[in-house]
Amino acid sequence: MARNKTSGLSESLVRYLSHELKSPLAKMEMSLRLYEKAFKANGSKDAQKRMEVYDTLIGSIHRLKHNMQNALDLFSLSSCHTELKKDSVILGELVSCAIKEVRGEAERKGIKLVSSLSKDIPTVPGDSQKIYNVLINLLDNALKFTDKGRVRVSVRTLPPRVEVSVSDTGIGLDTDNERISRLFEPFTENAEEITHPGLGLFVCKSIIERHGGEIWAESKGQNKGATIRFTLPA
Amino acid sequence: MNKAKEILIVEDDKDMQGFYKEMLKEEGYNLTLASNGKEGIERIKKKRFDLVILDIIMEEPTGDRLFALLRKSPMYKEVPVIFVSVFKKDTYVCTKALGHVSYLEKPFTKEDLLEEIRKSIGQC
Repeated sequence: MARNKTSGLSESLVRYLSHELKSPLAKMEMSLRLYEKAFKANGSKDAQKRMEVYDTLIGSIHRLKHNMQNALDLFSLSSCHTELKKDSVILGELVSCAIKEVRGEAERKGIKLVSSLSKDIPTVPGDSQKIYNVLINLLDNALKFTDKGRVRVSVRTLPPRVEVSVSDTGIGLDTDNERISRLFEPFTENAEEITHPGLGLFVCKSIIERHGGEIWAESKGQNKGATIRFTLPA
Repeated sequence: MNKAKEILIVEDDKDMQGFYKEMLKEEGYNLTLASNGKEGIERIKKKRFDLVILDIIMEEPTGDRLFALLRKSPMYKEVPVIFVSVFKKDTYVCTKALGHVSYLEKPFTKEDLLEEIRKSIGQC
């Protein structure tokens, strides 16, 4: 009984925070989108500057939205009482929605965004919101570290699992396996090290492992692109 | 000339109400705005709308409760409804339990809104 009450409180808090944080962000984005044409109208001397301001604002809103979702997911997953939802997740639909969400950023950078879905992909039991956040994190990372070329999302069946991969033609990864596995850690132990992989891949790992799946990174080396794959039980 | 379609929008956020007005101002629809579920109930008692757009998270009655009330009314049994929320569709058990409904996730664009409206009113 106590466990259920704690679990309910935690879920309610995440839900409340999620609504209260997402709503103003949604309104900021809607305001900008509604007046996009006015922002980007040609014919005045500051047109280029306004366009840059618009892109900066939209980009910042998206980054804030993703970071907020990661923080909420971490909070939710770190609660030992939180149980994942068991939706019948249609991965093809999630991939389409995720591609739609990041398409603006891909277009802005001139990167081709493609998907490849094999036939007869079964639904997977899981929390669709959290799996969606994994896809957004992986696409976001791929676009961040790719300056030209393409980003591809693939889904295929490998019974009894389904495998999803996000590959890019970007800056690639060090081929050292230990360094690659550290990508999925939230922060390095060396406080003097300035760069760290951020929370995104750590959140992805936490979500995928809570679903009974695996996630890993592959690369043929620096400037040779990278692929992040994850599997989920079907 | 066809009569303009009547749309009821139940939304408690003033900014969102402003977005709806701006997005739909030249699209030929007659809009009625209700600022909460209670006002929404009052509006639907007075006339039959062609489409109802419902924000889900509001003070009681919430959008999903209002939807359940609508479906119990013979006048609104078949009237299309579009749910709107910052959450993803799958978050809501009610949308699954109550069958097919249209769903718009905030933030949405004018084009997203018009597409959903056209799809919904076309279903009549």
